[in-house]
Amino acid sequence: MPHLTKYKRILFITLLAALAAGCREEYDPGIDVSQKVLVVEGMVTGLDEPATVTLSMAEPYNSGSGAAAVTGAYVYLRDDKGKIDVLRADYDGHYVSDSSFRGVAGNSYTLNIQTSDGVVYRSTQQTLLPAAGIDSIYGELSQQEFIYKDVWGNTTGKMEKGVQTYADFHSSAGDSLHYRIGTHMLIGYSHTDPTTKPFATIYYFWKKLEKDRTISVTGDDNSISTGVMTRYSAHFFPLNPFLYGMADDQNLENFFLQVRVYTLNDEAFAYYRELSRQLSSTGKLFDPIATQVYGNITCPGDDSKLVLGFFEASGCVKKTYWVQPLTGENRVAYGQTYDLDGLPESGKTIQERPYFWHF
Amino acid sequence: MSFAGLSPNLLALMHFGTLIKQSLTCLILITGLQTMAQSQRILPTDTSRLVSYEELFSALGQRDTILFYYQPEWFAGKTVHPSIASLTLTDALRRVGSLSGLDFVVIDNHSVVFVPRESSAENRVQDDAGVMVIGNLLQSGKFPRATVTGTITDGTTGGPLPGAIVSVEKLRAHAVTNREGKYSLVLPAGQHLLTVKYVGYQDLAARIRVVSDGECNLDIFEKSLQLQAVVITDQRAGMNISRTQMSALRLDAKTIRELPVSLGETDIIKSITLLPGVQSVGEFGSGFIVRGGNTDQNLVLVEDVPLFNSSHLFGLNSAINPDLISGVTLYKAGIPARYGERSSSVMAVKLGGSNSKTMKAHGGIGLLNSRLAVEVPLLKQKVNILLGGRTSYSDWLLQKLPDIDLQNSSAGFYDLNGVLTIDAGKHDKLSFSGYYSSDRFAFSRETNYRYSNLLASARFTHIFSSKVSTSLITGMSRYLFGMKELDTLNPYDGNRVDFGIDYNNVKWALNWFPGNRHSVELGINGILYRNHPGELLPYGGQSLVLPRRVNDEKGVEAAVYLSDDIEFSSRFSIEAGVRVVRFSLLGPGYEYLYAGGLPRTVENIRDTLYFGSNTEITTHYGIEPRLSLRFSLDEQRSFKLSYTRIDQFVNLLSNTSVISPTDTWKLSDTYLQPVVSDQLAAGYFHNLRNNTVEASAEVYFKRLQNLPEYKNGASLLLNDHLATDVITASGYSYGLELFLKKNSGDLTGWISYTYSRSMEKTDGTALIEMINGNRYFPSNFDIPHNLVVNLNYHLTRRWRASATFTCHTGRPVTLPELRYTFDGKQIIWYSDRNKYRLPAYHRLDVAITRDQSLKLNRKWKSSWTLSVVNLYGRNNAYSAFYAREDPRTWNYSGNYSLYKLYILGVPLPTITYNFNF
Repeated sequence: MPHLTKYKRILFITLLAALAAGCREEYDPGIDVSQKVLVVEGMVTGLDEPATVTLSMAEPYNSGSGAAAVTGAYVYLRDDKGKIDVLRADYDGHYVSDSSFRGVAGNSYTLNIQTSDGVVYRSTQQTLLPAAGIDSIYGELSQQEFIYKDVWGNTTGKMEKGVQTYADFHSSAGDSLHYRIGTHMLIGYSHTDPTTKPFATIYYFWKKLEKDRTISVTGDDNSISTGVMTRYSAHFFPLNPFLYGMADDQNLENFFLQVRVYTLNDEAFAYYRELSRQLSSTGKLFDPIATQVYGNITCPGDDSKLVLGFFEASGCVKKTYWVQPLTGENRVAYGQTYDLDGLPESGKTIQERPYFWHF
Repeated sequence: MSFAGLSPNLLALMHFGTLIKQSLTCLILITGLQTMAQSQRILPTDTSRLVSYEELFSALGQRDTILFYYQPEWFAGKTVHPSIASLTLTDALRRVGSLSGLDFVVIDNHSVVFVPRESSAENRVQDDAGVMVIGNLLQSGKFPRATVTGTITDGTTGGPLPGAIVSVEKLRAHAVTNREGKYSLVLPAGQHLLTVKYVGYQDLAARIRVVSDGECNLDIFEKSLQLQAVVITDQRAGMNISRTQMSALRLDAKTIRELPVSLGETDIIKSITLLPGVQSVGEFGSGFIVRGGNTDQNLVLVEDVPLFNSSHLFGLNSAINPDLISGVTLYKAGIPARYGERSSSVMAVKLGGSNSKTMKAHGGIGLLNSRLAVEVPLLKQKVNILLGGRTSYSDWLLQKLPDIDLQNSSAGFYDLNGVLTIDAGKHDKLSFSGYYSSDRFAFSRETNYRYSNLLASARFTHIFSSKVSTSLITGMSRYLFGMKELDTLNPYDGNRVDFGIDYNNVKWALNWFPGNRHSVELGINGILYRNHPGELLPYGGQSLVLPRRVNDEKGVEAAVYLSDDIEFSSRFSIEAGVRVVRFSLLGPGYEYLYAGGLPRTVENIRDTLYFGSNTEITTHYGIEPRLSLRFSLDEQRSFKLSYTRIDQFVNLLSNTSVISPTDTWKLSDTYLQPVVSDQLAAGYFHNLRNNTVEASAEVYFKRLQNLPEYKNGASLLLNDHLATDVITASGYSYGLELFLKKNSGDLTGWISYTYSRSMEKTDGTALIEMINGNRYFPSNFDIPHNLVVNLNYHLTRRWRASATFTCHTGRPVTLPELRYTFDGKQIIWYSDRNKYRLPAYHRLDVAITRDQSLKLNRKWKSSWTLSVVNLYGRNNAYSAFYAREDPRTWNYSGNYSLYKLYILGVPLPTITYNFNF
């Protein structure tokens, strides 16, 4: 039926034009929330670092303002031995323990807060579990699909070559523990100025990359987690310099990766798992319905008062590795290096490589 | 041209058939002709007037250049409906042969000779006054009453007409033909005026004289060759008033063919959602909502076995091929005792063809899929085979869309149906049906989904007498789902998950008709469920995933029921029944015992009990009374009342915002108790203008117990301890349904308005087992206002236009209220469950159809339908969600926004080419 061809061609174009209009749009249901809700982010680890607590106020979801810090609070930790550590205000909304404070595996801690209006908040008791052990961090040349978005919001995919890093770690206290993995990334690149005499000048730059975009937890029923975790996919570093905002005359040299493995108790795992699900939700048709993620902070004087956030006491181990792609040899070199904590967001050295760059 | 008058000599030779047809031609011409008449007359356009056979032969002869030979007295004074002239020559001759009791022989393609049939199957005997005699005249006066049985058929096609009303008005004796077009009436001996009524057909009145038990088979004819307007009717004309059953929607094959077209073809489920009390879950959602109940509370039966997933392509199409449906009935309330299993509604789909005497085929070609159905009668219609299939070709569409996820996606389906019916004698009938559907879709390259439905059933029906019949049905249904995930970045996590459910049933029913106004049904049902909650397997050569399997579930549901439908008078009738059901969850399996007074969590498991194979783990009983009452004020007005209780032992677990194919089934156990529904409904029904306008108002109240709900963050797939994530809720729903429908004339259609609420609440004692603090909240299916206006207008005999406007309150949703920063990331605090609503939904769909040719001699007939869905392009929200950019986005801003998802944002034109031959 030749006459059908003409009809189909017209309809094909019409249909495409129709569907190309997209299938989602931003939506403002006009929610007006006046509720004032405290947000608590507390952390005790067994590392050589102080306990920290951050207090802020939640904002209406459509508010343009940032989170308001909560200052003037009295914050202290009590362990199950009765020992109390009072935290001091560091900067707006941040409270830290004395530098001598160390979390101890097997101990349980409770966070107590009294805000300036006299309201008392308290966490459930959190037991600090032994830290895991990181066996190795390593990389392999690989490729991954990246998504690029144009000014109209249309997305296209492109495969990028790069270095896929992995971590192997193990439990120090048996099987089936829950972990949260945090990563900090940094790139090292250089620029050579050949015009200087008698020698060319070499500049070494570093720049921290943004933090993880999601929260990674393992130990879910569907994962391969056991007491030993191998080839945990830590981070993918693309080799395309454009993606790091580098100039044409700059050379990408190395990647640096710090991996922190937190050993979570059941309550912390359940909390982070829910956060992870929420953060990874991209609006797919069959995503689970939205749910309220309750933390472990309550207001003893008013059970109905909503408090958000979580106080966590987790064993933690961290290691930092350098990773160098050797594309000519079709392999990746890697090795352990110095801790990157305290390093500025970016910096440079001249002629001499930075201290963490020596390997 | 017509030639009448044939010599007896020739008649004898005719029995040798076509082997001697050449020589017969000469004989006819030489010796046979006694009279010859020529006519140029065309059949009258008034199709309500019967014509003589002479006129019919004249028209056929002129059309097909055919000569007819017969004895004039065979057709003298007899008339026939002119629509026979619209059939092909072969069909027309068969029809004439059937009506006259004559055989025919076609010679040289232009001569037709009628000859007496050796043994006529027709048993119509007329007395001297022309009254049809029923029974054996030799037995006159022997019986005071007798049973008249028979078949009502379409006089044009010969197909049976289910749902026709056969009555003797003076005696107020009525019978409705069954799916085979058969009826049975007990009448006093003597003379009666028997009438037959069927919507769209001319009323027939026949004088009969009842002597003893006997048959009276009658043909009726369509009022006009013009296609009837779209009519969805809950009963045949007047039956919505006089029938005891309420809240039932019935569609026959003819009506289904003329339902509004959606994306290229008629969709039975989408059409039903245009009726009061029935709503769609979304723009193109899977399943439907009946009176505030969840989608899994609807029992969709295809030839008496349930279809566990009734949709293709996320609900873009229904899983049932409309070309093979011979009838659909949806019960919203007053559900007969023979049905149970699901707590909200029963949708019974019957498959079958037109019972044509010749092979028929019909199908359609669309932009996204095509379909074909073929019906083949064998052995003089004693065996009938119906085969059909559909397949899609939609991948190309996805690849053209400007979204990476959609470009990497694919989707498609196909389904196959088959029905075999065997007429095994006057009292026995055997039928087999089979159905298979397969769907596949992938949202990205990494994740692939597949699911399939397999159904099969066999039915044996035996009629012991005009008062007693029985049927035995056995069937199976299998739903399988598979999901494969292989991330190229992390092949070590490659995995596949498979789950499904098997269903086997046996039904036996005994029907007893003590009188015209009294019927009793007794039956036994047995169901075996085998639920496979899931199995996790490694996928891909590098996968390190450890295989894991959640234990299968096995359950047996047994039910016995008794139903009595009795009409005490023309004003009052009652249908009362009871269904007693027992469900057992059988081993092998585990039961976890949780610490008393504490929330059910894995940590609070105190003991684990193991049950061996076929050992009862838990047992539930249910007694389900059913009652329907009718009180007629007169022939045009009636009140009805019904009460229904149903226990449901299998639930679909879903915590996604829309019904997802990944949702799994779960049998009732110790913790997930059976859903129990109690529904009380009342209605007022009023027909106007000689039943051409129907009006009704129904109210209902439904109480639901043990509804499955989900804890925050519940994980339902591959969960060994579902009781720790699933909690139960109780709920209620109520509503008012108003319906006004016009059935005839150039303009037809209906207006439907529904007000309904559906609420539920938990009663947990721990925070994690509460939803909204144990306060009542709107269920996912709470849609208070729903208005549907459907209009159809016949522009000409071949052109018709239709428009459907729907408008309803937006569905309840849970939306973000607060945001805060944690671990450097923006986190959302969501509102109480279903605290907000999506914007109101409204849409206008229009269509114009050019129906098939009315030319009489055309074998290949086709029609075109051009439709535009969402004419004014409203972005109706299907769901709302709060989403960030995909973390793989390089120029990731970390932005998050609240979005509404809509399926159709612009007018969507579709065109359908349908054909039959």
